[in-house]
Amino acid sequence: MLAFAAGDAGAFDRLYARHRGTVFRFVARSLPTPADAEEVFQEVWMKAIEARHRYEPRAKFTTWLYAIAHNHLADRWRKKGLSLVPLDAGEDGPVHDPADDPSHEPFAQVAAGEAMARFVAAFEALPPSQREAFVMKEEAGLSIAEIAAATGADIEAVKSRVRYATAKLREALDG
Amino acid sequence: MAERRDDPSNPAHDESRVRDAFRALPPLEPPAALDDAIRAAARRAVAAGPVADAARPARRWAMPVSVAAVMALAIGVALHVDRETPVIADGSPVAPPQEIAKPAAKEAAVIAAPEGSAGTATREEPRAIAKGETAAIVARPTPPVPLAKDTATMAAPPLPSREERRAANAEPPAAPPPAVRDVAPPQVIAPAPAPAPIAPPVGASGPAADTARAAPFAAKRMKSESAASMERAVPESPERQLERIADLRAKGLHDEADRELARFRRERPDYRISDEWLARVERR
Repeated sequence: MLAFAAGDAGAFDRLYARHRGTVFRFVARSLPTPADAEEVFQEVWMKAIEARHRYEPRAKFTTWLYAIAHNHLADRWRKKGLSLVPLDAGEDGPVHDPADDPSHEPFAQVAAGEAMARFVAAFEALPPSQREAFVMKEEAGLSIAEIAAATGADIEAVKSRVRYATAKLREALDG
Repeated sequence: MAERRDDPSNPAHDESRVRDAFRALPPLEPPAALDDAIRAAARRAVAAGPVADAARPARRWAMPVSVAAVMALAIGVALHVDRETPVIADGSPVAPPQEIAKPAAKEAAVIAAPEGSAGTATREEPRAIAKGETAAIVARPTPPVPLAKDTATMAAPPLPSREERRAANAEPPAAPPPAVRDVAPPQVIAPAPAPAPIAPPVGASGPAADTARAAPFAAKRMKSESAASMERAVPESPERQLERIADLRAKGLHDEADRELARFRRERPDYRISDEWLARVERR
């Protein structure tokens, strides 16, 4: 990122190639529609490009990038009227009902087995805060501390979110 | 370790199952067009980098420039406010400060140049006016006699002619403006620049006496100007207007009286004309 900020366009290409898939999946699995995901994905990278001069290598680039993504997702949730399911909602907060949401379609197309379908449904039913923490951990490979830094949440809260998410998904797999 | 993970009673086994299920989800990838757009934006940003950096110093100037602009605006407003004619308590407007300050400066020069003891009290006023302290002057109570501001205004008209001065000298010396001496406490002032007096003193006794002699003429002129400007500045009272309409009516100028009455009602829709006045102002 520092090389890119110094004017090395190739450095950005390398960064982008390394993180594009994980960031896109993180965003896509946090938003209801692919169109939303693409829009937010683009916004995240545009923000990273714009803020390149302000990047300071105090934290990992991944943490910085996911912090941007987290902020854009939070904005999007607010705009989409998902304030009933805020990022900081308690673990027993209202749950997004996937049955009301056509977004589960991509997942459903691929999910062959019954257990997998339940898993997908449970995943989409996770509160955004839990889903975000779980995806950051499993998709982006961030540690609990990094997730806490990226989301601005307490480490214990992040641990709790991941634990709750994992438990719900396991229950879905078990039927 | 792997065997232990396969053990259903092990929490790590559950976690592993969940992770495997999550990894089995479809591998989503961003569209190629999006990739191209983002890479192109990055290249554009790098290409525009030096330009953006060059624009930064301009932004650093934004704060000083805005501060300077605010100061200039404040000074402009202050000057503008200074030029506006304040109205003192009795309703007569004060001459604009530049009109006051110039003659006042002249007056101060005339007074302060020599060491005339009679003008000690009057010296302070022009100095205050020349400094633009109009607010302080306006705030003072206004006795019927000319104030310090009046002294300044008095100097504004041209000095009286030689004959007028002679006539003034012939008059008993009861004309000096006492209020000026009452208002301003004796005060030692810095010597003002000492240009030549405007006119040579007639009848001698120094520039202060000359000023005192000029005062009655200037006071007359000031009074007439003040009265005229007061008429312009102070709105007529309803009773005065009605009186005027009644006069018109009494003189038989009914059309004009009707017009004035209509104007009165238009200007003062809330004013209730008493029956007594109605009898006098309405056409019979």
